[in-house]
Amino acid sequence: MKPFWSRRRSLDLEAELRRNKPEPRSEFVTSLAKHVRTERSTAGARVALAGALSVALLAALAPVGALGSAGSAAKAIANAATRVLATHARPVAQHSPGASQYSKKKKVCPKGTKRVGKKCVKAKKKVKGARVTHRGPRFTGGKMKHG
Amino acid sequence: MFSRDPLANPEPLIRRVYAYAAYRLGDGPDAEDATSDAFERALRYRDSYDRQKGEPAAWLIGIARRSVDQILADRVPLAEPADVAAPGDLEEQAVARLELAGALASLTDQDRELVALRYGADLSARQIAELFEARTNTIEVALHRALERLRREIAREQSDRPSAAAANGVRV
Repeated sequence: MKPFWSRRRSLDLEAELRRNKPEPRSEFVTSLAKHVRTERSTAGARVALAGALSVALLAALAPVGALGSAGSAAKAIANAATRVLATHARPVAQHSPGASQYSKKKKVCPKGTKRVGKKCVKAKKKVKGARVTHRGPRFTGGKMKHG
Repeated sequence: MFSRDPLANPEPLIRRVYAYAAYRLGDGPDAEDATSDAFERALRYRDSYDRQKGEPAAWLIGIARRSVDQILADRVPLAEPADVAAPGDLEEQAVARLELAGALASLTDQDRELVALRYGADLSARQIAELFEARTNTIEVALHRALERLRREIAREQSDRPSAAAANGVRV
């Protein structure tokens, strides 16, 4: 039969696992914690330094139009990107037999009619013997000499 | 910015990571190496820490698992751990610790890892399930079985030892 202490220990195995948890050496904990803190502060200082340098650079170049230059550079980048990304339609000759196949059809009036506005109306017939208003070349003035 | 830093308060994290590593590798220099390595990696990748995905300890233990696995892979297989001292020379607590270490060493890698995560790193079953990408219930059952095996192993060790312990006058 198992002694009382053993039985209790078997039952409280979880508690024992927690109680007998391996502990690191205190020097190890101290040195590692110090190292972690140093690295953290170094990284933080690095970020702060980068930010400060950027601000200082902008401030130094502001009088010579650094902001404008930066702005135009950004605009140029945007234009280049638009050019690259934009899709172009295929250029088609506007006045070509191919293009004319798809143009709007012109309505042709039937023979004997003529267009008046949008409608085709019957054209008037020419009357025989009508007064001739003009025959031959136009008189330009001056008497003609015969003989 | 630093309020979200997972390594803002390193001491308790070091203890948890060390306990986890020591349960898997044994108390000593290997566990210290694994802990240091885990913190080096954590410092390097701390920007990848997402507060919404869990607390810093769980994130750090996830890193420590890789460090421990690496050490286990590089380790030359050793013979069975021998008794360091006769039980009669040691305090009750130390005997218990030795027995526990011996019993833990006899467990499979998976059982030992579960015990290390639960009782060394103090992670909850849900947190362990997230690490293993398994269901919480599955982890609880696996932990229960691992503890049963550990209990049996301790009982076996105790039954092997009573005469020696009695001879040395230790209450077992």
